[in-house]
Amino acid sequence: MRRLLALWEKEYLALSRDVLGLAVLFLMPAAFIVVMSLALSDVFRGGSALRTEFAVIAADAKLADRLAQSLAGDGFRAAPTPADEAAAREGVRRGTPSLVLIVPRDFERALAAPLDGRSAPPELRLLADPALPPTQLLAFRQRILGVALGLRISSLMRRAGIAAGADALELKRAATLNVETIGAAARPSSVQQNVPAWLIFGMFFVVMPISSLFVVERREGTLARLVSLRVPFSMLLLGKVGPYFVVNLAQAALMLLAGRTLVPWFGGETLALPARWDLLAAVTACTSFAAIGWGLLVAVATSSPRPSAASWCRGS
Amino acid sequence: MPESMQKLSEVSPMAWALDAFHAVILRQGGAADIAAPCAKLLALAVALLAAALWVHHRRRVLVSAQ
Repeated sequence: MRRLLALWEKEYLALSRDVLGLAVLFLMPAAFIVVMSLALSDVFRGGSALRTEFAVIAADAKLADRLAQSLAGDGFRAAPTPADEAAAREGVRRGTPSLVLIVPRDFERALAAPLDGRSAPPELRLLADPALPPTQLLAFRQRILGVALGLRISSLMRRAGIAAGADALELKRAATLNVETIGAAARPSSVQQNVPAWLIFGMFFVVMPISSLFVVERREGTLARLVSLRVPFSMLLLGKVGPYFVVNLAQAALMLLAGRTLVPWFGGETLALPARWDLLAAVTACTSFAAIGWGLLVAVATSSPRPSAASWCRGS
Repeated sequence: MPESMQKLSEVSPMAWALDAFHAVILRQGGAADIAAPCAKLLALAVALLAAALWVHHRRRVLVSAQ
């Protein structure tokens, strides 16, 4: 046990002299958490917090207004209608607005076509900004199809002589939908998503200092001297597990702290911590062991055989 | 992401760790939710340590043979 403690002390001394390695282990993931949480904050924000502008171009201005009103909501906001398709294309290229729906001249006639399977459904075109998140594009596409279906049903009802209120078939009035998120205490914000991802990334970065220190120790004959003192190689490896396990735990504490304090300080959301600290510690410990194991294998396998052979011979 | 890459990511220890962290932080899960990814991570750690010892042993055999 005394030998193991001495090995841990040696590892801490070596680590404390590697300022760059420590910066990579602690500062880089913390900086990534702050930057990426802030950069991605809009992506994970839903509903009214996420604003996407759209416009509708139709030959009939009244129809364009009606469609724009029906499509607006849930973060989609109607923008002024571009003069023509060329202006719309230019606008979408710049991202203002992100989406333009182009309604053909015969849209209303196609809506009234009988549902006999022979007549083609009304055709619409949508110009989309390539930078728009795919989920937003999909959501808007579903809104358009929902609104078109409502218009088609109301047109058929008119033909059949069934009276319906002007807004009875509006998308927003189709049903009241209450979404209940199950299990999570907090909505998965960008900080909730980013902290685990960058924490794992940072923890696996111990591969770098483990392997570089191992190569240095091999080159300088430290390992050979320890072996000559009858320290088993398995104990040398265990001598590295302890210190890097503590490093990983410190990283986890720092990353959680960054999510709790640094991100909100820069204007992002605060990381909501889980109720079960014991489970968080268990997951951190298991991830740490896997990262250290990976680091030790890389260290043993990649240290070049020629200098290592020389150092072993020098040591024995 | 291509399907082949998705399948490849399922055997990545980082994916197992992310699953376990998400189960605790995002879904407020219990011990049963993290058992499988944690078991995989620990098994991998043991296998990697064994592999490191084996690689070292092979090296020594090769060096002493020279």
